[in-house]
Amino acid sequence: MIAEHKVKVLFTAPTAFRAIKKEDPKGLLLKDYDLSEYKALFLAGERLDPDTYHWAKDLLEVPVIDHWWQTETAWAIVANPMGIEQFSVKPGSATKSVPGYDVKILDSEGNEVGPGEEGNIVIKLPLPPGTLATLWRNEDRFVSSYMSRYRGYYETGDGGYIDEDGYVFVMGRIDDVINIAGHRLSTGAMEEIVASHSQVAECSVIGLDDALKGQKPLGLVVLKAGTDCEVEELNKELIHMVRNGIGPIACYRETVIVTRLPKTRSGKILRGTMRAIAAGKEYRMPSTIDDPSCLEEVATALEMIGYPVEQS
Amino acid sequence: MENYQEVFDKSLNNPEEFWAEAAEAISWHKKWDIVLDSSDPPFYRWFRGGELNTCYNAVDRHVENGHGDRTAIIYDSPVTDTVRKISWTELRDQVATLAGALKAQGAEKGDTIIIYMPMIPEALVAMLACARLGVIHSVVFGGFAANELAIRIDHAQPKMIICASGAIEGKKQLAYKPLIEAAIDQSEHKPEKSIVFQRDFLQADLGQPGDLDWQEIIKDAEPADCVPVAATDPLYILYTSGTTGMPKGVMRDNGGHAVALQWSMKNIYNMEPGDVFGRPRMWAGWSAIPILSTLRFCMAAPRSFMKESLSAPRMQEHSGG
Repeated sequence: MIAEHKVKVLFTAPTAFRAIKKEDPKGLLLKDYDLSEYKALFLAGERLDPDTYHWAKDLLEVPVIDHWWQTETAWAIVANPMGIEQFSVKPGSATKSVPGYDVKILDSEGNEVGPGEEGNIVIKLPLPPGTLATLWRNEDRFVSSYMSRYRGYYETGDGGYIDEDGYVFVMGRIDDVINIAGHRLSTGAMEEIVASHSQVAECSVIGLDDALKGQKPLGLVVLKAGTDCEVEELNKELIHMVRNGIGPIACYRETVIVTRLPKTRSGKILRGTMRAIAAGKEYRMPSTIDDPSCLEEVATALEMIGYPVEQS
Repeated sequence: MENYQEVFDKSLNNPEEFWAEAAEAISWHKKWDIVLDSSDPPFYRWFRGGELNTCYNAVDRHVENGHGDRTAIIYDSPVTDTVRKISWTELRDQVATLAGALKAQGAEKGDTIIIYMPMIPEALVAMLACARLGVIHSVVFGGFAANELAIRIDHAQPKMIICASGAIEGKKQLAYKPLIEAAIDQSEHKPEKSIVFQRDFLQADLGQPGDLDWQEIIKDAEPADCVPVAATDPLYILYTSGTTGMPKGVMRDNGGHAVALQWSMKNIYNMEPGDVFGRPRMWAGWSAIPILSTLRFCMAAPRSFMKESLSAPRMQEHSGG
């Protein structure tokens, strides 16, 4: 497509490139095409991992430009402004705040943090033109979803940091929305469906890193007492239910049965902690956890189905 | 060339001057009264008092400026073995004709219409036709299940649904019409009409009350002109998942959207008129953007990008046709 139509700029999601990387890791097929008109690859829609960045850059020999924006903003918040000044790329960063966006990093108290310190990514109001004017037929939710946590700022819901050179690093969602091949989907919606299964007492759906799609969902399920079912059979039924309820794009494929879910004393399921266990990341025992031994049970159950995936 | 820091500082220190300058690149029916209305925070409205039409800016003015014969859209779909090139004049005529047909069916400024289509040029034509009439469109991704579509129908309350008979997903055909009928069964709000674009490989049964065939209604349609709308009027609603239940309907206005996207094409992407912007996947709502600045817009169906990159013999033949 690039060669035939003399495409100058290609704009897609990292998932497309991970798909090619999987099939043609050395990029041998590229040699057959004339890409002399091709000037830049722009990626967005999900986090561009440094691995894919290096792969694409080395093969294509054009600038690989990550940029970050949200459905809400309609256009780039952080980018490498090729038409103004092209900056050298730092892998993992979408580069600098786009003119019009006053991007800040705040701690949970609403104080601005220093360079390199991770926190909540916010944008000082007013937002530039083109961004969401409100939520349709729901002004209250516009205020409560985006504008109320930090007065005078738009809350992006993403976490990250800004380094001493002004490069913005977006690390991922703070809430429970996962990004599957560029589609933002709510794990809460999937949980509702999984929980509606007749044998499921309680469940949690978490997002795991996926080499191809960026993220994928995994269901942790507590069975109703006295039920006896095969996990394979249950998994098949849940796949079917999520497919019908949300659509094939949810990519729900995996279920693990656990005896209970880790929770805070107030009953909030510790999704972040389970995500860390499944990803093999270090985590801090939440101070509010109800029963710490529960985490070991979850770790054992995850191990049985191959999580965390061993890094090669 | 100005450097980034200068531009960035100006945009924050004097946003009204900065964006008023950027707004000169858009054709306005009536200039704004105030650049930024900040009287009711956290609601901010740009270009209050201004009037424009987004479709005019995205299509008609390029024809009027002598670009009519140039290619506007390149559609390349290996899954259906199609490559189509559409010129600016053809695009304008298709959009104006569909807009006329929608108008004849009762669509008017301020109405909402849901578009449920795969990534084919007709999806773009439908979005632009809505914008032409001042109708607010909401694109619902053609892979969403019936109950998700039903939730969006109840929220957006569309007067009509514009859809395709189906799509090809991977190697399978997916019929859309049964999904839409199931959604309308579930929803409380009932759209008056469903306008179906029949695809060659899949004919939908148009047996429900209000079902209309796209190709039929455009036959004798009188082309419609662009209707000026307020800069602050909604252009589209785009649903995005929240953490709980009901998706959030992001409301985008006409004026700010046109100004910001026009600005970003040059300043972020460094695209000049006539350059080809490749877009193998579609984020709903983004498709109309590159064409604001006379770019050529190269659409490809989902998967085609991968296929093209992977099947060398096919590519040499004709890039997957």
